[in-house]
Amino acid sequence: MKHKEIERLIQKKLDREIGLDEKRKLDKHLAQCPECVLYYQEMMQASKSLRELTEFYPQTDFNARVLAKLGLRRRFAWTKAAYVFAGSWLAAILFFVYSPLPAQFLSRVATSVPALMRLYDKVELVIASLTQVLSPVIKSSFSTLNPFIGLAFSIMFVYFLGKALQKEVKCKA
Amino acid sequence: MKDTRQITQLIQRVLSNDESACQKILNLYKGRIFSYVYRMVKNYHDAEDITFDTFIKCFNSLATFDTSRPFATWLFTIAHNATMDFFRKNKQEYEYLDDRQAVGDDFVQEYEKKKKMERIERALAELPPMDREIVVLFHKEEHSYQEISTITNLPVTTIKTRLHRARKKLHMLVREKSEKR
Repeated sequence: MKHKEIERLIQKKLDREIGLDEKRKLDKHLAQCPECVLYYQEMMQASKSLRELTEFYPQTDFNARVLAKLGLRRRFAWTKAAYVFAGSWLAAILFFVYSPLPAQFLSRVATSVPALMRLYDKVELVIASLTQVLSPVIKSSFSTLNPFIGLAFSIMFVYFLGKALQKEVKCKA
Repeated sequence: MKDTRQITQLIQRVLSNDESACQKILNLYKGRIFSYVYRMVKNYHDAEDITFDTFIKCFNSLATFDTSRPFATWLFTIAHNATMDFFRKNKQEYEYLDDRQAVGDDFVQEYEKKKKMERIERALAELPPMDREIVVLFHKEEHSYQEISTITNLPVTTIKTRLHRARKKLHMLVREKSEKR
């Protein structure tokens, strides 16, 4: 068989269009022609390398730029984290304020572990001392509004911290 | 089939302004489109601009996309047209001329650790743009002749002839580069 014919069959194989008979012909010839085997191997290797070519990527802010151009605001992970944080905080406050369960549970744990009671006494002493020191500054010791103010500040804190981190990531990229 | 269903669902979500669906489509295809365009224009910033335009056009005309057709082929057609516009604007002959520098050595070396891959990448860069495009679409992107014909608006016979010729040239160039080392 002529080399030209073999070259045609190799091209057909690379085209994924080779028939069974043609494949048999090709294999038969390759078994006895080292020159064609080398050509066949090089062509197959080139095809394999082409398939495995590196995938390149645009810059990291590419998605954000496309979304901005489309008028879609990108919702960053930290924005979602702020919502989850706020929700958890609110749920925890409502649970502790309106449910008798936490107090009952804590007192049961505290009375069953004497070491915890001693620790609680010490902490209470520290808090009482601090309250004494701070009471001239803070006129009302506790208001139901305080947790909500704290909540608002915490959300703002998480939000701006996330934004600052985002900026840092962009700078590094 | 699962992929087609997934893409169709994503398209529906994009059409209702779902930002996360846009992100998913971008993450699925930006690497493929950017690599294809980059290998055509051989300049990172130009490739990024063309890829950007491709996705903007894609999202803006998504409502007209026929979901019974393969999404990737449609997207590559937009990328191909955007690349041709770029060649026209920059007065470059797409078919024969290719006077740009080969892929930047530093850039390739940064990403290509294997010498074999480097050789094929360099050999590919030496092919005329049209042949390079067909080789990338067939071998790297694994599109069929019919799909390449849709993307490039060329007859299947032309694509086949050019691909066969390009393979032979590529083989010759790789062999030359191997012998030089």
